[in-house]
Amino acid sequence: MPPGIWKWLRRLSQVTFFGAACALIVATDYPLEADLPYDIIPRFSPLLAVTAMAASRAVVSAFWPALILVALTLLLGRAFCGWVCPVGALLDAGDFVINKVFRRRKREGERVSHRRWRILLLVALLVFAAFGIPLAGWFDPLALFPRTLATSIIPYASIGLDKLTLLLYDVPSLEGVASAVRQRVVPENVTLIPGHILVAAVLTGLILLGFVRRRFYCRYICPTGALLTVVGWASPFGRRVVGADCTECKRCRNECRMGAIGGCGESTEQAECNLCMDCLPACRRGAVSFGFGRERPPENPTTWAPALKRRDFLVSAGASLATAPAVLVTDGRVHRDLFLIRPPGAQEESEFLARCLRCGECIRVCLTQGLAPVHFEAGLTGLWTPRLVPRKGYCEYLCTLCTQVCPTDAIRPLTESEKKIEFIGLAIIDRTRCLPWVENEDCNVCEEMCPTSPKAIELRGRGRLKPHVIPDECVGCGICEYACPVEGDAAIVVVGDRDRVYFVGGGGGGRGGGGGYRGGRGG
Amino acid sequence: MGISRREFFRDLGLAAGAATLLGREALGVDEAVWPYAPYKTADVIVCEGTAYNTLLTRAFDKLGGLKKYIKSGDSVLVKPNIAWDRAPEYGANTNPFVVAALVELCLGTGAAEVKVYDNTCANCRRSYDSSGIADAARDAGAKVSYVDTALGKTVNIPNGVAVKKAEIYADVLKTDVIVNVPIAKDHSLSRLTLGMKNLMGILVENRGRWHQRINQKLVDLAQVVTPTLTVIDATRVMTANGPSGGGLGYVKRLDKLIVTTDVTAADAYATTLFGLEPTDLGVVKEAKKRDFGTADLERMNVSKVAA
Repeated sequence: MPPGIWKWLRRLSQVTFFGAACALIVATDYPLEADLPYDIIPRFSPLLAVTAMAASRAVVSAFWPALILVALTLLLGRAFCGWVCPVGALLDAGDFVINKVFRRRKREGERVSHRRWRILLLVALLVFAAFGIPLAGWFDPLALFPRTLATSIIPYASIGLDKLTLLLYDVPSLEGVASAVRQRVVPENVTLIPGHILVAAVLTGLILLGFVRRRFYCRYICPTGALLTVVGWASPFGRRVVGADCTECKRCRNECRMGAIGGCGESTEQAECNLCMDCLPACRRGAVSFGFGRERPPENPTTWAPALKRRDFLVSAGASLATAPAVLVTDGRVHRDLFLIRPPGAQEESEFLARCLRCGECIRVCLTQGLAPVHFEAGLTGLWTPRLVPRKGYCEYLCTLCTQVCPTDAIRPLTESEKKIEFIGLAIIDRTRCLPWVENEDCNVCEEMCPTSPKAIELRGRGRLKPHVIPDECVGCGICEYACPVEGDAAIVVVGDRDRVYFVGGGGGGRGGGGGYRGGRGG
Repeated sequence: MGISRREFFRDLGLAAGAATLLGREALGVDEAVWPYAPYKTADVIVCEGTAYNTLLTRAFDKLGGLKKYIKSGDSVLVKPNIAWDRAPEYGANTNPFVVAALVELCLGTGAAEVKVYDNTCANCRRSYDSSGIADAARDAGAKVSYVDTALGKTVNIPNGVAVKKAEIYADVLKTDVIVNVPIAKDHSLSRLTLGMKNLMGILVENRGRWHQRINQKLVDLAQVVTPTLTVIDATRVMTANGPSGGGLGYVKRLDKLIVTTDVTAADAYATTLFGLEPTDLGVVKEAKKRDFGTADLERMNVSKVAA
C-alpha cells in the first residue's frame, strides 16, 4: 500500500465525520421524527462528561459515548483529533487555505513550553467543575461546534437562502425551485439569534489563529485534546522512525501540523501527534511508519514534558482554587437578570448551570428561534447558556422539542401534558404603553394569542376592554410579548423570575390584575 | 423540459440585475385591486349531518352547481382556519374532513389546482400538523403550503374606512376563486370569528395592528378580497376561551355547515347558532351599514340539506 493512502483515508474520515455532524445538527429540527440520536455529539466528549458530572455531583449516564472515545484514545492516542473532530477538520481546511493563499512556509518555529497552556486550562476547568462551575463547554470542540452552527451558521445560511430565493422568485422559470426551497428551508421566522456575533467570533478567531500556527487551537487551547493527551499517554500505537534510513532531511518535521516531530525528524512527541499521517508520504526513504509497539524517545527535555511541571500544575490549580469561590458569587445563583427566562423543563438554576454544556442543541431545535445564548444575564459563568427571548420567538405552548435534545437533562424531558403546567415566567402588562390602557384603542392581541385554558389574560373593564394578567394561569410562554403590536419593546413583557414579582390592585387570590416587579438582586 | 444551464444563468443574472436596479416592488403588480364585486345573493344553505361530501355537493347544487363558480383550469384557494396548534377536536381550526371534501369537490370541477394555506397564529408547522388539515388536504389532492410572509403584495382599498391598503400574500392574487372555510368560534374582540375574520389569514403584514377598529378593517378587506364561496364549519363550534380554546368543555358539536356565496350572510346567519342576533356582531353591523352583502335574516333565502 502506498504510504500516501493513509493521508487520504484520514481526509475521507474527517470529511465524513464533519458532514455527519453538520447533517445531524441541521436535522435537529421539528418534528424530530427520524429518531436519530440528535444530542450525541457533545456526549462523546470525556471532558464535558467529567466536568458536568463533577459539577452536578451526579452520574450522567448519557455520557456513555465518551467511554468509546476514551477507549479509542487508550489504544490509539489522539486519533480523534486528527481523524474525527469536526473543529479539527475545519481548522485543517482553514490552514490549507491560509497556506495556499498566503503561501506561508510550513516550517514553524515554536516554543514548545507554550503547549502547557492547554493542560493548565484543563486543570483549571476541572477545579472549577469541582466547585459546581462547569465551563468546559466554552472551549470543548464538541460543544463549540454545535453551538456555533445552531446560533450563527445555520441562521446565516437560512438568511442567505432567504435572500437568494427571493431573487429567484422574480424569474418565472425559477419560481418553482425558489418556492420549494423556501417551503422546505425557511417556512417561518428567518432571523438572527441574539448573541450570534460573539459565538461566531470565537470560531472565526480560532480559524484565523491558523495564521500564527497550524492547528493553533489544538496545540495550545483545546482542553479536550489535553485530556486525550493524558488518556492516550501510554497508548501502544504511534509513529516509528527507522533510524538507519533517516537522513535527517526534516521534511516530515516541516510537514507536521501539530509540531509533534522533534529533532531532525527522528523523534516524535506522541502526546502531540494526532496521527494525521502526513509524515508518511513526506518521507522519501520510507523510514516512517505507524504501528503498535511504538518507540519511546529516550530523553527529550524539549518535549511537552514542561506541561507536567509540578510548579505549573500547582499554579493553575491554586489560582483556580482561589478564584472559583469568587466566581461563584457572580453567577446566576446569586445574580440573575429578572428577564432571564430559562427553557421549559430547565432544572433549578444552580443545577441547570451545573449541567448545561452550552452545546446549543436547544437553541438549534427551538421551533420559533426564541432561544438564544445569554451573555452575562445569568452571571459571569452563565455565558452561552440558553434563554428565551420572547420578543424574538415565544415558547410554543405544546412544543417540547428543546426538552428532548438536552444531552444532560439540564432541560428535563417533558411530555405535552407536563409542558402545559410548566411555569417559565410571568407576563406583566406595561400600563403606560398598552393600547387599551393608554391610547383608548381596542386591542386584544395578547389575550387572543394566550394559549392556556382558561386564558391567562382576561379582557375586563367598563367601556373599553383592557387586558389583565391572571398570574396563576400564566405559564410565561411569551406569545403575548411576541405578538404585541406596540412598536419596539412590547407593552406586555415576561419576567423569568416569578418570585420577584409582586402584585398590586385587583384583589388577592392570585387574580390580581396588574403587577410590578422588585428591582435589585436576590429574590 | 426544464431549462438549460445557459438559460438558468441568464435568468439569474436578469433577476439579480433587475432587483438591484429597480427594487422588488417595481417588478410585479404592486398595487392591484381584487377583480370581484361582492355577491348580492342571499341564498344560504344550512347542511346538517356528517357526510360532508354529500352535504356540500347538494348545497352547491342548490346554488347552481359548483361549476358555476369554478371554471375548468381555474386556480382555487380553499382557505381554512389553521391558526392554532390544536387537535381537531378542540374546535380551534377548521374540520380537516370538511376541508378535504371541499378540495375533492373543487378538483372535480376541473380546476387546475386547489391550494390550501393559512397564515397561522401559532407556529405554522405545528398548526398545519396538529390541525390534521395538512394531511387531509394533501391526501385529497390539494397543494398544501405555508404562507410565505416575505412575499406580500400591497392591495389598495379605495373605499376603505379604516385601512386604505393591505399587504396580502402574493399567491392570493394569482388565485381565481377563493373558497372561504372558517370555523365558527368565540372571540373576545369581534365576539365571534367567522367568515370575514377568517380572511385575515391571507394578510402577511403585522396583523396585531389590525385589532384596532377591527370590524371596519375586516369589512374593508372583504370588499376587495371577496370570497366566491363561504362555507362556515359549524360541525364543532367553540363557545368560550376563543379563538384558541384549548379545552374540550368549550366545544359544542352541531354538525352543521353554512354554505353561501355571500360572506356577510354567512356571518349573519352563523350568529344564530350561538343564540345571537346578526347585529350582535360588530362586523355584520358594519357590513349592513355599508350595504355590503346581506345582513338581515329576513332577506335570506335559507334552505336546509341533511345527509
